Amino acid sequence: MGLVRRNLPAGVMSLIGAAFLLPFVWLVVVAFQAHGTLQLSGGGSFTISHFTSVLHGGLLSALGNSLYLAGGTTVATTVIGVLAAYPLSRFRSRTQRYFIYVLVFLTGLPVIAIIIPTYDFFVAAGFINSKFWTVWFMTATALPFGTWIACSFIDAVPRELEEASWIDGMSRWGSLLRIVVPLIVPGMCVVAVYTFVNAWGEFFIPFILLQSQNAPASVTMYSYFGQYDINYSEVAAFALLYSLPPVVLYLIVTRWVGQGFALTGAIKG
Amino acid sequence: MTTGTLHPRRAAALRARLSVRGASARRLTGITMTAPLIVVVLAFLGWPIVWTLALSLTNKAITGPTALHSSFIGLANYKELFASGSGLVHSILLSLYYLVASAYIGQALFGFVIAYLMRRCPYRVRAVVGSIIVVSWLVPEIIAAWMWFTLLSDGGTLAQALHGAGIGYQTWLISHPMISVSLANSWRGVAFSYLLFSAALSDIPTDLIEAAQVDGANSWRRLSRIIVPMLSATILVDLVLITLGTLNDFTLIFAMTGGGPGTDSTVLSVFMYQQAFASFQLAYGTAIAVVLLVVGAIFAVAYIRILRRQGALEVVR
Repeated sequence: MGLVRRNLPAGVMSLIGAAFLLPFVWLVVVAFQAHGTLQLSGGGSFTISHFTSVLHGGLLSALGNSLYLAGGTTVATTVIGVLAAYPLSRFRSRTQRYFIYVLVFLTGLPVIAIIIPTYDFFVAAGFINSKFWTVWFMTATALPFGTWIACSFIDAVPRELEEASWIDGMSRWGSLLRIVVPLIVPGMCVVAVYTFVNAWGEFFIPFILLQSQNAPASVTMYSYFGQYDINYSEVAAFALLYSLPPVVLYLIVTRWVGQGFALTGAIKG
Repeated sequence: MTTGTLHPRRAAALRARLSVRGASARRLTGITMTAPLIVVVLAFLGWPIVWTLALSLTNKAITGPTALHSSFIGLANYKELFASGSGLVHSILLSLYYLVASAYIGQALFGFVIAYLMRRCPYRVRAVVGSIIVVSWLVPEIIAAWMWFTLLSDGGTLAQALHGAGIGYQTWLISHPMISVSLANSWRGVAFSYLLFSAALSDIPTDLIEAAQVDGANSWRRLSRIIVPMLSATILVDLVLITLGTLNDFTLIFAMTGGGPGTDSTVLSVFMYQQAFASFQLAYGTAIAVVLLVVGAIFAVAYIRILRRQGALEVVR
């Protein structure tokens, strides 16, 4: 009886884990089958040809567009966010406090609600279907949260370290770049990975603002919904390749920054 | 650390001197450093928010004569929106359903149960099952939608399996669209609540729980009298954040059901999209966006208040 009780949580969790794994099973099996179908079936010849055809075909450019959008958003958000987080963390004033409130407020605002005027504005300004300007819109949506987490990482750097450098005549810019930034590299990676994972998976913004040759993988993926004459195996291979970067990045960062991957820690405050 | 540290008193004196002498220089530096953030956020977030409000008072469409020459029509869009039969109430009810089923039950409650059970699991189970759950969260949303779309489609693996289990054969996305999308959203989103709760659970001192155990509190009492009250702050933060996230969710439902069949899964975000981009009523869609913005703003303010009370917005020094 005691044995059952003690092992009950592990048993239940294993079942839950298996249930969570289920959707992936179909995807992975079908991606390696020659002619996979909706119905999961064993057998069929094993092949990696679908992966190679994705990497040689037009789908590669969709992944390239995703990389452009997510990479650009990540670089812009991290640089601008850390830069703004420094005075927000270091200079005490009332303005600074309200600034933080506004950032947190913007973190919570539903981005989908402002897509219509953004579309209107992009059409009027001639920005529509431009990856470059889409990156800036995505950066703006990522910045409030990114800056806020960057703030909490800079808070953790002791001021005394900087004060010593000011005596030696270093400027604020100098102490930010030479002292603070090297110490918050792990924190910057958290900001960068969080931003990248979100931007890489973003569907709605590019769906509205970008078309055809500029569309990222998420929008390409959408075109496969409800088509019943598609090659499921090839789409599954594409889906797997597209899903890989966020998972790999997350694993690298958690290994490196440590188990307490500060995503949730930062939200908790 | 290569940089030497200062005696606290000298540091304080220095800080005072710097702050007097460099007040304006410091302000200039602060403005320069925050300028890029302010410019980008004002141009791409602040301006669209103001423009959302303005656009909702016009008759602008995507095509046709009012696309180029729109005019001010006052609150007409809102009148139309709040009139009965506009579909707004229907969408709000569906959004509430989605919120309760997929966010509060499927993510918060289920995430808590997972976090609670995981503490009593051996390391190997924790590592493997925890990774599977987190990977479900990391996968792009459109991929999650496609996986569940294919599983539940006619002839899909899960649809067949459920049929095999004795449940009448049906196309789940058509017969039960809200259950289908809620299931998918719970699967995808539970990791966030799970991570938040398991971090908070590990912060509870174990001797506190052991002491209650010694005093004769059974596991239900330990849970309801000690663990849940100690997690109340985290629970509140989790609920506010997943509310905002679910309200902002569009992709999963749009891709899986398109809001259908008919309008059976047209939650607010999908309703907004359909009016603005599928029916070309840009301005009318914006009026729905304003409703979303107002609800979002209420929860965002609640979030700020909670964080303030916890002291999470004060700079630590």
